[in-house]
Amino acid sequence: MAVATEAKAVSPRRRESLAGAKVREALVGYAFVAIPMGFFLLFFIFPVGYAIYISFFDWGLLGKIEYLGLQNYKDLIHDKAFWTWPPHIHAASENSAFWNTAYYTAVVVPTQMALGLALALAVNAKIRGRTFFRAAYYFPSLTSSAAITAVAIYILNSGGVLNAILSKIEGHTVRTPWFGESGTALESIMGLNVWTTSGTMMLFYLATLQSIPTDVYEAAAIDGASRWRIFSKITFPLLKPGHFFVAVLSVIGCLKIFDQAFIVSAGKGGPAYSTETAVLYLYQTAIFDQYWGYAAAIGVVLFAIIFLITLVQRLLFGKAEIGY
Amino acid sequence: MKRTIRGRKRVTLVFAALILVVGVIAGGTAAKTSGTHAAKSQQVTTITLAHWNSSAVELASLRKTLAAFEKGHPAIKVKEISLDPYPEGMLARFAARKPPDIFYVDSNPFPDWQKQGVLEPLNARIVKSHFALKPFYGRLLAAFRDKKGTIYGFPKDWSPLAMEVNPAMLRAAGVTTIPTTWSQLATALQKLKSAGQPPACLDISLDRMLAFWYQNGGGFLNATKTAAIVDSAANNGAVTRYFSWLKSGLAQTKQQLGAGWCGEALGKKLASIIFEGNWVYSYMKETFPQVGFAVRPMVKNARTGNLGFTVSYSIAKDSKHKSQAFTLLTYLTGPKGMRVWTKNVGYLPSRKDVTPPPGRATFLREAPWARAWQFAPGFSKVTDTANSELQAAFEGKETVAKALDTIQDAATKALRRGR
Repeated sequence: MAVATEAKAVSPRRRESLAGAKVREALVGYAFVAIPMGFFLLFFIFPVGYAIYISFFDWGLLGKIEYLGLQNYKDLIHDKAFWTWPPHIHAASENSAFWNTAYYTAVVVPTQMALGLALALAVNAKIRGRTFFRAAYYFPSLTSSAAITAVAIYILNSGGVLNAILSKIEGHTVRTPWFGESGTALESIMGLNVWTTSGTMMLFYLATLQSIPTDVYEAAAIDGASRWRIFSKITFPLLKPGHFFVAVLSVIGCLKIFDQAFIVSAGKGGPAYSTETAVLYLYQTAIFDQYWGYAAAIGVVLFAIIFLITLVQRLLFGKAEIGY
Repeated sequence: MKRTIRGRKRVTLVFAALILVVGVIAGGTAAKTSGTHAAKSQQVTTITLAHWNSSAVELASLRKTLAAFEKGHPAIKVKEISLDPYPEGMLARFAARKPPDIFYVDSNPFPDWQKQGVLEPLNARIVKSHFALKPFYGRLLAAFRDKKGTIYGFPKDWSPLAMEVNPAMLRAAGVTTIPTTWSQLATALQKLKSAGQPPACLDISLDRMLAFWYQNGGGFLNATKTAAIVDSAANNGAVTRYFSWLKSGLAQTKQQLGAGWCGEALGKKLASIIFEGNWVYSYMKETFPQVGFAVRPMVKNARTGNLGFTVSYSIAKDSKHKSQAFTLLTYLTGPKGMRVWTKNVGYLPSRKDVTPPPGRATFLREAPWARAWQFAPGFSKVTDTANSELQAAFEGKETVAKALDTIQDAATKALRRGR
């Protein structure tokens, strides 16, 4: 605004040069943006576009490349290893990566959100040493998931610490190979992931919690509202932006589940297909089986699914903005 | 006016900086290329050898062997690179058309790599160099031939499976005669169990169970590798028997024992009997030198049956130094190099004219009936399916017959696609 008023007062020549300066300033700005933008285009937008492109081909790293049209997508619909109808979770022969991922997401997202919220409420309370608790709960999120999984393999081993503790509690020897049986392998990864990522969820919830104005609580206190009523009628609804953000983040994270499944099963998705997730199946199709076009098609479908779910969530949560 | 000049200056400065950055990067690349040119102008050729290494002993032995080669061939220098994970690392290098000149090829993915055309056929060079093939064990060399008989590599060593036992445990249970048949094995394991001694370690994995299928008169593919023969009664019987040992507690899986593999279970005294290959020797010597063990012949049932695991040295089709690579290849798989290699690493030689390390006679006696761990192109996925199906059947989620049917289907599909 100040520039405009200043421009009015000066001569037309001066105004012209000012416009020129603006253009130049913009140019400088773009020049600075150009470098990261170049990386973004080269390493993000281009590969995404290229993946969509090769999903229409029979694309091997070596040998012939053949145009297939939509054949990869048609094959995917009938690929029992990727998905089946009706759904098979923990089924024997139908190793459907899609349903494993869906099952994983359905369990992990609510657990993660509830735990994250509970932790956030706990460390938001005015208690002694809450900074310590905040740091302590967030700590697992800082550790690399590969390292945590590697350690968990020892802890959940049939002769591991967890079984030793369970043996003490139950009074008889427990020797469950948690990652070695299809009935517990994926569930163990679920537990592991809920634990490691709930700290991050706590952090997001905490940030939203602290943005809720205190006068709302004061008014409620004056009205004599109970603690539960304050939580259910004020805190929880006012956390809407937090819910949206955490839910989207958690769902996307769950649908992409790969590293733990990969490490636990040495890339094979075992035992008995139980840790075969959608992204792991994609990886196997590309790297082990060398069907790059088909793997790209899986990636595109996965992208579409995540995109759709995010849209639906956005609709469900409204615009995720709240007026106080 | 001053302002605009300064603005222009600023823009020029930014672009100058950009040009500088680009220039430095380009200069760096130029320096690199000139570096390789300088190396080429000398008489010494450097070739690259890619391998995986399963132990420190293996790496040290390989380096010793290569040093011995370089001593006798001053014009060739060998750069050795270790890849982990190996097949993925190699495929990336093949795809980039910059593969190592000479490298390990496992007999199992060999059909895939041969089909993809990344391996150099060796027949013309064999004829020209008069490199004798006769000293190689025929079955091992055959693992690196295609259907037309073209050779794509020479086996560097090999190993069948055998039965490794903890003699102290057997003695403690009063097992005096070493079991040689399935029923004797079950009896011995029963005695061990009653005496409170550890069970056998059995792996639910095709690369162990297939040996038992062979022993029961079953198999995976027919002799010409054109059809799957997985859903046979013989295989069903073998799997059922194998599972019965596990279910009755005579044996346990490595997961149940809490070991990474059955060799570890033997070393940690969690298992009394295991079925593994010659690699157990160096592992036990390195990791569990105080635990005693003995190697006994593989058990048999209706007939003898065993698996043979072998790895070749092969040359890349895209190699730029094929003749030097072939010189190294014939050294490593020739009598001289193989002697240095097997003496140091303790593996079994793939040539009859190289004396095996002492104490390996039991393994060598398995040679006549050991069949190569090898199927057809596209079978890595089939073996994964097989392992998952066998696990599902073991957990009681489906019948053995259903599991074998699914494996049969997967194998048939892979054969059809590979044709």
